[in-house]
Amino acid sequence: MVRAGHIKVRIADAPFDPHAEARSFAKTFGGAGAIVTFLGQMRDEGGSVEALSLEHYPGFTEERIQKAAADACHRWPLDGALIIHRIGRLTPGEPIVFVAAASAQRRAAFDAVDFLMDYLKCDAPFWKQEVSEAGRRWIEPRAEDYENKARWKASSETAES
Amino acid sequence: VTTRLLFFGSLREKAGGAERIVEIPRGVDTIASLVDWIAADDDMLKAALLAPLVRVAVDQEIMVDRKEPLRPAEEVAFMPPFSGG
Repeated sequence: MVRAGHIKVRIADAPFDPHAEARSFAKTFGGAGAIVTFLGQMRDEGGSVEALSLEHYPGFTEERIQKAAADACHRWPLDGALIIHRIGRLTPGEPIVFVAAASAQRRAAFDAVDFLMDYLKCDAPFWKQEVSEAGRRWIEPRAEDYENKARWKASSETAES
Repeated sequence: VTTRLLFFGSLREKAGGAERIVEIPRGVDTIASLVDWIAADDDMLKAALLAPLVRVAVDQEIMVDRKEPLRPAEEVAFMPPFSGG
């Protein structure tokens, strides 16, 4: 089981460099056999979307993500995990989310990153607004996002009741 | 007790602001009655706050049951569906 100090959650209000983050993460966990990283960046939607505006609930959002990461550490033998999520105004091509997991086993690292991304998509307190010529529109998770999330059985760590 | 009401995402626009500082009167003792009190003269806001997918956090703890007793709180947050990633 991973120590809490090996889980890092960062809410970034300015652009970050995912490649530098990946390098530094791999160095920190140099002894792990497997590192899996995921980078989500803002789609350009064929040029129709100018920007995204993301907000969070300071304190609460970090705590919830930290809990989900602790849950991932109970499910899989991880050496460490890193989650970076942008807030503020983003333009197409900019990194929105970066998730990394380190483990002795590749399957654990892949699954943990997949799990954390499904969590971030519909259970982490973020609100996303799309800005286009037509105006502003709040985005809600798609049915597909909830279905992806449902693939992982609930555990006491992330249950809301 | 002074309570900070927080409205996130689309609810901020419907509430006309991100935050309200209020003194919750005696008798307002559940989320349901709090919503009645907040949106006493605004049916649209009331419906939006009571929408099934809206999550309510009291002092940063999610309350599932709208009829559960509401203890004195520093912060009550109304959160429409999350959309991260």
